Amino acid sequence: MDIEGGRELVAPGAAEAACLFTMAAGVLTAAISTTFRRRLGQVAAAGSVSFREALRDGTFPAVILMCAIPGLAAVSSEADGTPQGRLRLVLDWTLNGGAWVCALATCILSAVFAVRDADGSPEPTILMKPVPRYVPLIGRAAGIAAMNACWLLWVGMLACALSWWGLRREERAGMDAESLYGEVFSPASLALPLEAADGTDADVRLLRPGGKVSFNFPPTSVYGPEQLDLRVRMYSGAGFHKRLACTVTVRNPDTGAMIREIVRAVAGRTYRIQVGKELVSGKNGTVVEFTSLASPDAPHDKYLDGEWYKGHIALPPAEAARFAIPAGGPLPALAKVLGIFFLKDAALALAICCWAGAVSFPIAGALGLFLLLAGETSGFARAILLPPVARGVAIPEDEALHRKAIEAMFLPLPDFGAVGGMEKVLAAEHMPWSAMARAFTTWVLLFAGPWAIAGWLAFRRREIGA
Amino acid sequence: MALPAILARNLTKDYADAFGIPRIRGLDGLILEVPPGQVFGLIGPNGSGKTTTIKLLLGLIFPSFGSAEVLGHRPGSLAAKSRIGYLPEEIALPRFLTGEEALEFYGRLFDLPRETRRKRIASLLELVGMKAPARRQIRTYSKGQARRIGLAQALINDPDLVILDEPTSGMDPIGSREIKDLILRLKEQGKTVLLSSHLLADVEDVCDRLALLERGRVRMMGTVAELLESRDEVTFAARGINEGGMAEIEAAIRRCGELLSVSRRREKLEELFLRVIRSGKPGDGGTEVRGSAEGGRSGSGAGTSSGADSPTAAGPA
Repeated sequence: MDIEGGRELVAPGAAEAACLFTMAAGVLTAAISTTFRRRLGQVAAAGSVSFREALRDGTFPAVILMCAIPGLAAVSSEADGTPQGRLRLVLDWTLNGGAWVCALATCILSAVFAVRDADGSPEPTILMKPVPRYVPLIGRAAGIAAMNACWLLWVGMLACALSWWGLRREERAGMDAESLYGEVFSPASLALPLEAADGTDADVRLLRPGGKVSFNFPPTSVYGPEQLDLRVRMYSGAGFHKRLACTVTVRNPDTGAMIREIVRAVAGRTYRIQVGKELVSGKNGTVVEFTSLASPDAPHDKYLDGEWYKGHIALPPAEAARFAIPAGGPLPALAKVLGIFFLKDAALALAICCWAGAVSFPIAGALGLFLLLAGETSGFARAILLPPVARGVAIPEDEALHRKAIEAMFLPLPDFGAVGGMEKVLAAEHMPWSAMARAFTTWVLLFAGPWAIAGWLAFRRREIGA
Repeated sequence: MALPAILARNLTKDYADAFGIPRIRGLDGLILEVPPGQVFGLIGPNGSGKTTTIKLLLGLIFPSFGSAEVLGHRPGSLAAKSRIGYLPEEIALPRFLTGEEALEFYGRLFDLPRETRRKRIASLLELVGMKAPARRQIRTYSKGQARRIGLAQALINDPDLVILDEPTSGMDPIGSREIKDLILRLKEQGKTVLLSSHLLADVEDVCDRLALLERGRVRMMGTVAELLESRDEVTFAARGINEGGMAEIEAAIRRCGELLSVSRRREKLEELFLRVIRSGKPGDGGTEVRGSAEGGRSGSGAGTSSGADSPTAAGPA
C-alpha cells in the first residue's frame, strides 16, 4: 500500500468497480429513460411524505435528541485525563451511540411507517395512482434514508463540537493542575501540557522566564516536534507566550537530536528562539530552556494572568482535530464513517420497508431488529463458529461440509462489522474509499437487494384492504 | 361502438382464511357493463359486495374467478389507473400533510407538470370548498372536510372514470348536495361515475342505472326509472284545490280505480335544511340552525336540486 501526502493510494478493486458501474448505469439510465425519471419523481414524492410526517409527528426531533445523549454522557464522564483519551471517548460514544440510535430508529420507523400506510389507508389512494407497487416501498425507504442522513449529519456535527469542547475542557483541567503545580513549586510559573506521540518521552511546558522547575514533577504528557510546532501555533494569537520561555524537559539523555528538531520547528514559526541552556540535570533527564524574544507590543499586563489566558484560548476545531488525530485529521475519516453508517441504515430501511408492506407490524418490527442485531453480531458469531484454519492444513470432509453449512447460514445476513469504519477513526487511521465501496456493494446491493426484491414480490400479490 | 367503461364477466371473489382456504364469498358471478358517460350506482346492505366490486375493478384485490376490464385495460394496470379517480370509503390520506400538500403529492404521482398541478389544485380546492382550510394538516380536519380533500385527490388527474365509495359519508346535507351536484356535473362532462352508497336517496338522485347487491349477488339491475316506476300506481301533485274539488277528484278516481291514499305534500328534511341554511334565516320552529363548521362553500351549483324536489317517496322496494 502506498502512502502519498497522507493519502492512501488504493488500486481500484472489484468493490470499487461494482460501485462505479452501478453509479454509471444509474446515471445513464436516468439520462436516457423518461420512465426512470418519472419513477424517480414518484419515489421522491413518496419519500418526502415520509420525511414530512416524521418531522411533524415528532419522531424526527425525538431521534435528534436521543442521538445527543451518548455524546453528552461521554463529555460528562471520566476519561483518562489526556486530551487524546477524552477525544477517543467522545468520538467513540457519540458516533457509536448515535449510530445505534439512528439504526434502531430506522428499523422501527421502517416498520411503523409501512404498517401505518397500510392500516391508516393512504395506501389505496397511492396505489390507485399510476405508480408500480414498488414505488411506495422504495419511496418510503428513501424518505427514511433521507431522515437518517440528517440524523447522521447531526451526529457528526455533534461529534466535532463535543470533541472540540471536550479537548478544551481537558486542557483547561490540565492547565489548572499545572497552575497549581506552579503555585506549589514556583508561584510565578504557568505550565501547559502537550500531547502524546508514540516513541517520544519528553514534556514541554511554557514557563515564565526565571520560573523554577521541579525536575521530579509527575509527567503529564509526551510530545513530538510536530505537536510542539502545532501547539505553539495554536497559542500564537494569545500574546502572552511572547514573553515566556519554552522549557523542554527531556527524560531520555539521548534525545539531543529531538531537541534540535524542536528548536527548528519552533524557530521556523512565529518566534525566534534564543540559544537554549541546560537548567537542570538529574537522574531522569535534562531540562533545557529556550527563551523567546519579547515583542514590543506584547500585552505585558496580561501575560501572567492565568485567568485571562484561559479565557482567550480558542482551539479551532480543525486544529483540535488535527492535533488529536495525526492521520490527516478526523474530518475526512469522520465523513466516511458517517457515510458507512448511512449505507448500513439505508440497506436496513430498504430491506425492512419492502417486507413491512407485506406483513404485520410485529413481524416487520421483529424482522428489522433481527437484521440489525444479526448484522452487528454476525462477524463475531462467524469468527466463533468458523475458527480460522492454518493454510495448508487439510480439513476433514465432514468438517468442511459443516463449515459450508455454517457459511450458508450467514449468507442472508450482513456483516456490519466487516468494514470497521469506527475502528479506523479511533485508531486515527486513514479510511480508504474502497471501504465505502465495499459497504455499498455488500450491504446495499448484495444484502438489501435480495431482501427488497423478495419483499416486493410478496407485496406485489398482497390484496390491499381485503 | 365505444368500449364500455367497466366490463365485468362472472367476477367472483372468495376471501380465504389464514391457511388460504376460501371461507367467504364476497362477490358471486358479477356481470356488469357500464357504458361511458353514465352514472352507475351500487347499492346494498353491509357486506353485500359493493366495496369488493370496487376493489376488484381497481386491482387492489384479485378475483378468484372471472375477469374485468376498466376503460379497456386490465384492472390495476398503469394505463387504467392513469385515467381513474378513486375516493375510498375510509379517510385515506397522509394525516400529517396539509390538504394542499396532499393534493400536491398526488399530483406528483401523476407526474403532472408543476404549473398544471398548481392550477388544478387551486381549482379543485375551490370546487370542493376547501380553499380556506387547505393549509391545515389533514389530521385536524373533520370527517366531512377530509372527504372533500379525498374527493379533490380523486379528481386531480381529470379522470375519465370516477369511482366513489360512499362519497357522502360524514358529510352534512349541504356537502352531500354539493357532492351530488358535482357528480351530475361530471356526467355532463362525459365522465363515467361508479357510485357505491347505502344512502339510497343519494343514489336515486344522481344515478342513471343501479345494481342492488345482496350477499355478493346482483338482485336487481336497471335504470332508476325501470326499477322505481310503479306500473299501476299514479301520483298527482296539485296546488290550490279546495275541499269540494278534492271530493270530486276522489270520486272520479274511485270510478276509474282504487284510491290508495290522499295526503298533503310534505317537504323533505333535506329540502328544509338546505332552504333554511341557504336563506340564513331561522326555520318556522324558531330554533336557529347554525351553518356547518366545514370549510368554505363552493356555492357552485348550489341551487340545483334535481330529483330532490320530487314529491314521490324515494327508495327502491
